[in-house]
Amino acid sequence: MTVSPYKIKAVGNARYEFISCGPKGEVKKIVEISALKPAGLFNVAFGDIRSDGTIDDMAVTNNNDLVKVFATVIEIIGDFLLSNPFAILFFQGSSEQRTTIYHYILRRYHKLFSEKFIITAMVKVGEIATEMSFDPYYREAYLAFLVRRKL
Amino acid sequence: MSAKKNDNSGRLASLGIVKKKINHTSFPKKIERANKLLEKAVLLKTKEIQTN
Repeated sequence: MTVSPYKIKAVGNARYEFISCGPKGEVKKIVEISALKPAGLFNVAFGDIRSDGTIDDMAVTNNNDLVKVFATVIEIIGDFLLSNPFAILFFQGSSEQRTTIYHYILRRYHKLFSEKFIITAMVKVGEIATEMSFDPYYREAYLAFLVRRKL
Repeated sequence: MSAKKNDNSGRLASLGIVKKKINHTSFPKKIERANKLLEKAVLLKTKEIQTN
């Protein structure tokens, strides 16, 4: 990813904020990492902060900075995994379409991401969600993605 | 995680500390959805992934 990330403001140890800048103006974004029930797994959630302080995780900002926003999210993931090297980060789009966008970005930058992280993905096998290695050329829809730090 | 469990058990103490600190969320629906997906999921063992 040749684009530099936005400046990140850490709020506590698992909440990060940054400002997206583009044709739609400045949009405050949040990335929050929260513990999931399976021990060791943490969810990465992402959304816009509305002017009243509430969070919109379905927002379509169209600020022409998707790659820069993702570069920022990757930076945040790296920061979290540096402090928590054995954590497994889980992320899933708020819709199938968003998960497909994440798949596209992971496919495009897979080689670069693989230098620091191990990317895997969840697929449905029968009725069971099953983790498998991320295949950039996989043509079916993934359910979600998991990221570990390379040790 | 019914069929296979993570092999991070020796390291979970430190993660437990993190977990306590970040159990609040602004995205409760996402967390609920993720937990539901992972409830019966089969996950790979971290040790195997790291060595491959």
